[in-house]
Amino acid sequence: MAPLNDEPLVHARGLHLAYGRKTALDGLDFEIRPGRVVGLLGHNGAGKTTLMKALVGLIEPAGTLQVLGLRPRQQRVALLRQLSYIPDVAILPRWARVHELIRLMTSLHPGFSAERARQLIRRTSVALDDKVKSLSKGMVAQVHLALVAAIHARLLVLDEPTLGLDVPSRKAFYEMLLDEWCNGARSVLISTHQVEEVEGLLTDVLMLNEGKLVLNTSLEAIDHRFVALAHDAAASEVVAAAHPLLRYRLPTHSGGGSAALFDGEPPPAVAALGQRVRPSLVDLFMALTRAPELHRTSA
Amino acid sequence: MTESHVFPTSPLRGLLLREWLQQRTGWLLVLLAPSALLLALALFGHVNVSLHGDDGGPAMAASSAALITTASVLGGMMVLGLGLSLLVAFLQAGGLARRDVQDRSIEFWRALPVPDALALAAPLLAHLVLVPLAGMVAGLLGGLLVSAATVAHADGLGAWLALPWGVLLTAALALALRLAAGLLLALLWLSPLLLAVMVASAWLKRWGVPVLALLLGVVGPLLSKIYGVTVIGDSLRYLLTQAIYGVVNPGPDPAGPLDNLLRALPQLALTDLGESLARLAQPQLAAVLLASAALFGLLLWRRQRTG
Repeated sequence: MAPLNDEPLVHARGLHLAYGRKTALDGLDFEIRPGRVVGLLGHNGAGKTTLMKALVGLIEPAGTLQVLGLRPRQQRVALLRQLSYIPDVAILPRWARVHELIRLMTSLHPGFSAERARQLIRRTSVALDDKVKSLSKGMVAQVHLALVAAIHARLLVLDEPTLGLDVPSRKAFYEMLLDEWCNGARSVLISTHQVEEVEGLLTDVLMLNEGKLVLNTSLEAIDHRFVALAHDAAASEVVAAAHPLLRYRLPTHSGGGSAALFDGEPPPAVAALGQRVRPSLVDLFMALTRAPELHRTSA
Repeated sequence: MTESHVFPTSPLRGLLLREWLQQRTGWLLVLLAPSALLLALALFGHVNVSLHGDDGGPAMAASSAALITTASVLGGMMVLGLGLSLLVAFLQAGGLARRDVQDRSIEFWRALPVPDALALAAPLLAHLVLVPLAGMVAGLLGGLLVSAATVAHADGLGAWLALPWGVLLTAALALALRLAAGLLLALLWLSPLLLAVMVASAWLKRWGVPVLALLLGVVGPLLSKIYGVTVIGDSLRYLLTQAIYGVVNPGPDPAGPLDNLLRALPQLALTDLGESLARLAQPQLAAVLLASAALFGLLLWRRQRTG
């Protein structure tokens, strides 16, 4: 049965999967609601791709997993009619021309609009008659996103979509994603370890570390829960004694100097030694994925 | 409204379209080259339709020579078109199993709402059935042109136009239907072999076909010679024999005037097809079907773990 209104698009409880003795997913519990742009963040090998593959029915983990009200592995074909998936950037068939891919998608996907795909392609530097093998990686990524954005789907799953692309290509990709997909009603799950690039897109974050979900929260909640404190070097010892999650240097454009990240309010005596600044997702990423003993799972 | 709502999607049609888009150049070459070559030979070569017997006997009537020429060219080119396309399909079978993994597009294809079994079956249908049938039709159409050019060269186009076309085309249709049914029966018997080639290629990549050839061509005879185990050679011979009998059964060559033979061809083809179908009623067919199903299952399993 299809989920209604604000019912979660993805519902996962106790997801577990191991490759031999290596645990890839370790008891994950989370939900993704409609209209959200969720970043799945983690280092290489953290379990991001495994989770993505589980969500689209390519592998079957233990536990309970429902995507769009369906069981991904058992109802993969039905699921893929409502869910779009870009597993990697350079995987379009190299022998095909762009207009041939549009013809193929028209035949193979019931929710695909050829006219919409042509419109989106025209906004890129790619011609409909171009062969995929003649395109740069960035162009292939844009064609792939255009094809996927022309599918009438409710959830888009992107696995490291800009890996290996140069900066202009990555920017063009994310602009197209924002303009053509994120309309407030459709949801996106995007996995990456290039955290700083996606921070501006996201509404929610799932952070994985060695198969465990170490953070599952909205960006709004992050601002309330985590506190970054900029302080003078002289206060370093006192700040360190308060056991922050992470001590780091602020970037030059933020004034430079030392800072510490706390989960919750720091003790008043410590807070008085510095100035409260907004913690960045990158700092949080560093804090939570460098310290696997901190397995916080919800805001 | 999207175009997909105007034209309902069909995964099988889409998958066949994919085969056409990907393979059309090679297919067109295989389908058209024999006819083009033979037509060029007929038009510009020195092809003479002899009106005399091999022993220099009495002259044959021009109409008989034209009929023999046309019937031979039509039948020969239909068989050639089908056989050549099938040969090419056999040679490509190994590659079919691993092409999407090789160019990394497997993840793109598996992200589409298409059942894996259909995605595996569609290329087999296209390469092993549809293209050989198209080759046969191309052979028939090419045969019409080649026979017209050949007969016209000797006796003028009037002689070709004056042929008994009702009889000729009925015989050609009967032959086409017999060949089409024969193709399906031959593929049925050869399916374990073909799927084994695909499975070997899927697992061992470029070494798949050589390893399988080594197994069948070297290990089989060695086992037979050293241990008296003949199962590999016997199975191979059995499958090939049954495949040939699926297309044509052994029997006395039909004799009599060509005109009569052509008229009798539909009945002969029907009788022969009946014999081929009767050969299906043997327990070995169950083993063939089981082996094919198991091999197809292995391909499916492999595909589901590579996407």
